[in-house]
Amino acid sequence: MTENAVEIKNLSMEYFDKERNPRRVLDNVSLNIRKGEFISLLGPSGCGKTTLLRIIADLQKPTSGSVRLAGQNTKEARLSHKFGMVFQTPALLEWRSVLENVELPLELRKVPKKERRERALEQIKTVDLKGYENSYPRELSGGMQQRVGIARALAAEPEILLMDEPFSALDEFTKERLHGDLLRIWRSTNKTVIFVTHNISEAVYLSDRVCVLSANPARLAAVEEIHLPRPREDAVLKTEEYFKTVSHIREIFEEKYNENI
Amino acid sequence: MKKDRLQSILLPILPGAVILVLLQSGIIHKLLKIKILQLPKPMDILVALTENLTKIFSDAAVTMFPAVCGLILGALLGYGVALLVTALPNGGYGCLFIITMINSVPIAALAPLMNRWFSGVLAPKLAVIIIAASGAMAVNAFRGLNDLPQNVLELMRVNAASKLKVFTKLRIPNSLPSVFTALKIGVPAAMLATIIAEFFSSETAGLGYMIKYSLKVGNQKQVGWAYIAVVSVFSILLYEVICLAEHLLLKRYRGKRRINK
Repeated sequence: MTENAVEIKNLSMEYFDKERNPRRVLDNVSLNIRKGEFISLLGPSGCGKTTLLRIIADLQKPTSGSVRLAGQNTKEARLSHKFGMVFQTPALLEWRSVLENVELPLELRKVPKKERRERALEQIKTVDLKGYENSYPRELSGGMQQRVGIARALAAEPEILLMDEPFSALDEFTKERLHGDLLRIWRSTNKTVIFVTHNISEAVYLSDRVCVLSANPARLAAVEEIHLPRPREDAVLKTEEYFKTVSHIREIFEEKYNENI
Repeated sequence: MKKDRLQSILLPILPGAVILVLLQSGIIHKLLKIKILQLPKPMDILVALTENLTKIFSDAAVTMFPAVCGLILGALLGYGVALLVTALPNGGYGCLFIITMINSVPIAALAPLMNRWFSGVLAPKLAVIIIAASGAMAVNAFRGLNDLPQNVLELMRVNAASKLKVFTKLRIPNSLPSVFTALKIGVPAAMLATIIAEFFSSETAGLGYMIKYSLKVGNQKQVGWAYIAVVSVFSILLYEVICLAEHLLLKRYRGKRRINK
């Protein structure tokens, strides 16, 4: 029996738009995420996948339903540093060097200076930015900045890593490179990763399971197990099984949208 | 590079020198039909300056001491208000409103008023300068403390940062460039306020008083102009001191070099 890292039960989220009409961004979503699992939340813009992630991160409150992270509610989990987050844009502090940016979560956890430095340097090495410790964010390319963001999230060694479309602003080559880095880091640290994306092939390549979210109404349309072999290398991208899986998920979307539009 | 540098020095100096020569030769006076009494020739002003150097410096001390103190105190007051408004947005906005409202009262109206409110010669002067210097700081610092990307604030929240830590790690460092912007705006404001306060002061010393006094006396016009020149020089010096401090203290916030990897 594998333990659940995250349990989402009957989660709904509603808000009122400008015309004061209620809009449902999440409709009765239930999902268990296993410990150590790499899971993607996949869907088009505005389907509520980011909202779901933000509710897990205690950045937003749901209208109804509950989220438990290893037995804690989202606020308790946040205050006890259960998860780290990587944002769509790197969210770096421009006056801090790479090293100081990565150290920030450790400072907030009152980790002693020496240990802080060691752990930050280690994570900078993990994301392959050794030699750039003393550079400032503005001196780095977009891909490098995003890697600093990942190192920062890893530095605090959270059990769960929440990633909100972290690679969507990057070019294809940088993205593929970071996919490889992310899988390597995930394999060696055994973290639970919840990865939000609107890119089908990215979701398939990275994940153990892909949660397909549909918009209007915002529901969990399907949860697909991905049976591609691990560890996944670039070679997987050229296999028939990979193509089949991507096509299969594409079909789910087509069905959903034909039904609803 | 060297040529650019030479150009950047020569370009502002040359037109200045030309104007001085035209003034000295009396061409401008003839062209614009100005009497020497209205605008003494540069050499006469320089002679007046050297003849009265000790007196001018003692007057400069009388003026610059409150100007600098007032600028600093006004900046502290303005920053304090900005901090307060940011920490307590509900009650604080009133504070920002009051300080900008007081700031919009013309200095020439404030100066005689402050003479009635405060006794002595220093206190009313300081009051006028503090009011003049605090407005720009309050508004700019408030911007610096609050102009933050949403995701950076969320990063602090995900890492369970306390409100105090959000100030010390994020808001205050983010506000430093705005602080220097405000100080640069504050220098001319403080100088203007000091000179005008001295126009209305009962004190018989100081650059402002001496400008007013010398320009009234028939054979003292060039001395008045010497004082005007000295005020300008001190104002520029004060501005440059702030630029230098910014250059030294905000190294982390500058530079545009990018590495691609």
